[in-house]
Amino acid sequence: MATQEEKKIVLERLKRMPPTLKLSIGSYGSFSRAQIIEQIENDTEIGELFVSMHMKYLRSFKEEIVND
Amino acid sequence: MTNRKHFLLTTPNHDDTVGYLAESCKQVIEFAKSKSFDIANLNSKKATKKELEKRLKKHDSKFVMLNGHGDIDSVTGYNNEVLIKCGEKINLMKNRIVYALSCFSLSKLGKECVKKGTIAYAGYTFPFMFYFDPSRSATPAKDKIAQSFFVAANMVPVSLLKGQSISEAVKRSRREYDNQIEKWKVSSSPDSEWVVSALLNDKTALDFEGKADAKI
Repeated sequence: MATQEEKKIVLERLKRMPPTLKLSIGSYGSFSRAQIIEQIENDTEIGELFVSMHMKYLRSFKEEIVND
Repeated sequence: MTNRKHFLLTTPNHDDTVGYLAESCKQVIEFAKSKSFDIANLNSKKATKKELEKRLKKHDSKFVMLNGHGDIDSVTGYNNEVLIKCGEKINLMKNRIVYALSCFSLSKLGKECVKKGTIAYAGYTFPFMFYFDPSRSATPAKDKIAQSFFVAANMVPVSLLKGQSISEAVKRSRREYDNQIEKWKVSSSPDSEWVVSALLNDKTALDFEGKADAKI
């Protein structure tokens, strides 16, 4: 389960996401930036999936620095 | 009696997501033709359970690629009709190699299939995601963002069609995900962060069950 801190980090990053981009998540549908933000703020399953995915990506930078 | 191998795939196209999957399969189909495979493409409204059973009975395809929405225990076709599900029709996949470009299905369905006689099953353990440019949704082939995902995802069937084992096919697909990630990382595109995070998600979710040395 995503922590409040993680949600806050991802919501802040989402301010930089181009509004022209859309994300397809299988049978859940396709989501614009505004829709992703809404899902996170409403603590939905989609919101959790997105935060989890993006936090893994952000953590991957830390691993790159440690392994260099 | 033909010695040509048979490749069956489902390509429903009833919404944007599966429309992109279907479009991306055109290249896989062309590649299969170049390798002299006989092909049954259950496209659009033909991607049904009835048609799948009928064609598998007729052709006994060694390699089956299922494109469509999925869950941990099922993969669907046109209008989200369930094609195979844990406990139902899994025997359709017996003695075959399966690749499901579908969310979640490897986590339970794939394992069940292998227990019931599928030689190997490659797929995704959590949602397959991709970013796309909505202004290109009518012409997915021109969507450079979405193409990055499908070039990597379709490396599994392309490698299998080349005669690679399933473990090698999955490795090659993961390497292609890495190539796409590097390409976007060095790009100055504002889309980069988002595309890379989803590519990383998909690379991590991709795996297989069954015999590692399974070949078509």
